[in-house]
Amino acid sequence: MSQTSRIESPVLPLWNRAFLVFLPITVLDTVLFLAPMVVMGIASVLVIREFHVSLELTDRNYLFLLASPIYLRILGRTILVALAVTAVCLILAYPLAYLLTTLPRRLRGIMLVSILLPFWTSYLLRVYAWITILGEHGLINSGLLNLGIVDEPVRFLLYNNYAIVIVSVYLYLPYAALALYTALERLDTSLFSAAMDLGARPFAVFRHVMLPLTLPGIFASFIFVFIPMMGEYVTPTLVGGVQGQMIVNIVVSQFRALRFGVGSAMVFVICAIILALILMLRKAAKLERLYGG
Amino acid sequence: MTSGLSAMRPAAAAQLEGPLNLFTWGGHIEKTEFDDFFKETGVRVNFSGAAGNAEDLAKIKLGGGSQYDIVGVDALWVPKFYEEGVIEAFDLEKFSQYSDVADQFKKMAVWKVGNLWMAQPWAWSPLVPWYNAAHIKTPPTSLKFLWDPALKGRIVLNDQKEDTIAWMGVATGAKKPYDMTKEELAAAKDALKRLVPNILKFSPQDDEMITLMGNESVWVTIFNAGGGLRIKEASGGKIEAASVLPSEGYIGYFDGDCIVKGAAHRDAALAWMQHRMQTKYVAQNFERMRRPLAYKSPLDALKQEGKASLAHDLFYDQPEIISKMVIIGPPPNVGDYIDAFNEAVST
Repeated sequence: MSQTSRIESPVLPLWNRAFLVFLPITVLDTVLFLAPMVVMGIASVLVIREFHVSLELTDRNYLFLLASPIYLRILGRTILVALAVTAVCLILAYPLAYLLTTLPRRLRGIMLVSILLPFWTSYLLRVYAWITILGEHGLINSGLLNLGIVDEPVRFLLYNNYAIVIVSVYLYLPYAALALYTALERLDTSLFSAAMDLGARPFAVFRHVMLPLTLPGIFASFIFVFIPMMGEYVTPTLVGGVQGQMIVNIVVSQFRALRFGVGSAMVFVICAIILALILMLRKAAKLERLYGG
Repeated sequence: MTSGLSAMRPAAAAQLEGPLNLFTWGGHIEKTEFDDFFKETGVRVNFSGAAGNAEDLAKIKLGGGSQYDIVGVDALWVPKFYEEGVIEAFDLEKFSQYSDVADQFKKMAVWKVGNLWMAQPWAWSPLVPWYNAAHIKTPPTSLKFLWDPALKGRIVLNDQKEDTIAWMGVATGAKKPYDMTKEELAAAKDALKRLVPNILKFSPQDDEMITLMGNESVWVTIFNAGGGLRIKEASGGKIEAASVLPSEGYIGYFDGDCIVKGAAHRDAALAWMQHRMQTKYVAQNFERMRRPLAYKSPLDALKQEGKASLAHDLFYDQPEIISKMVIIGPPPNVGDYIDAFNEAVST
């Protein structure tokens, strides 16, 4: 290319290009995320009776949740269920992701597609599929009955917190696996050989070399699983049973009771808890060092 | 009976603007009606399913007449929608089929503003406990059987929290189950707390409740008049479900469709309302939904087709039942109902 043609080409300044690149996502985030959050933020500190908004400021919407032992208990149970699902996903996803990195390239591609395969069907269908597996007349019970292991169907498989964990692990495992795979794939495996040459046993290599180096992947997996789990509504509704209410079910019930202020305040309390947990985890894992501060 | 909108209002039908945005219960529509209405008026119908009265009220408040033309509303929620200024009254009595409206509805003052109506009546039904007679041998007469420990995990209820609390109010003798005092509400909450071990789940969908009854995962549910038939079908004819009109009383509903205030396609909405009042659509809706409707001529048609006993079993020929029902409505302290529900099931 000649010097002249380079001068004539319409090259935008760097800040202009950056502006154009980030414009669509900024608009999308502003309209679909920030604006509703601002509206809810305002609603959470105003006195709202059904549809009648008063401009009087109040902290009662926040105190309503914080002063309710029942709702705090449900919040605590939600955090526990979300942590349990995240932990199980990580435990299952880590070896799966590692196995993927050791496979020949073609086979790896096939495995990756297999992991992504469930996303080709609807989320609801996947949950309903589990109802037909875990239900009183489902696949597991049919198998147990046919094998003579039980005389009558077992009923503890569905409509309780365990069912929420089982179904949610199935739903979120691919997210955890893919995030870990990305981290594991970039690992320099010669470090393992070096550690073993220096006398480290396999578990020590895992604990002192592999695990610290994959912390960003673990952290990403945690975010991909824990955050949506804190907001899970459909799975607890469909497979959770009578005591399977999670905090979002409570939030929805507040909006249905036309308590917009209380519902909005609950959303912000949940956000604050998620943020606090992520920051604590980030600090505990010393990710700043890995990310370079 | 006239058939087709053009036969009823030829001039108006020719000038109708659409599409008609219909936001109502799934049980209020027959899909063949949409095509027929389009053929007769050139107006397409956009249907979206209503979720619950409170939620729908919020949606109409936000969306208004530019997004919705008609909204389906239950019983005493209709005056609430009117008070909130989201629906407008209209002259139902000018509809050519007005004479076909059942007398119980014509006398219904709660839906009227002077001579105008807040809603076009559609369906009604008592909600009654349905039980699997193979498992519950002694026919119950009272709601007390629900608390039998033998029914552990064998009950499925609809996931309408305020209605569940109202049922507990009925069971504990509250004077106005949808407007309970603090003491009555506390008793209702306690009753629900004691009932929780017997409840498998609160289901958001009618179909799921029927499926669970049909595959015998549960033995008791609360459903409208057609529950027994639907359970029998879901079980492939194996399950005979029986119902009980409890001695303590029972909740029921009547519902209708309302014109959203400032509806962009108000004329099309009025035309649609008249169109659907035709006997063939009402009868078709009865056969599909298995619960009575607010119109008389389909009952005659059913009798002529030899379906008098079906109509009787489903209370279609007994509209006097409406006056005995505790009618679904918005509790003035709905938040307290929701808290009572959440506290009872989460303890």
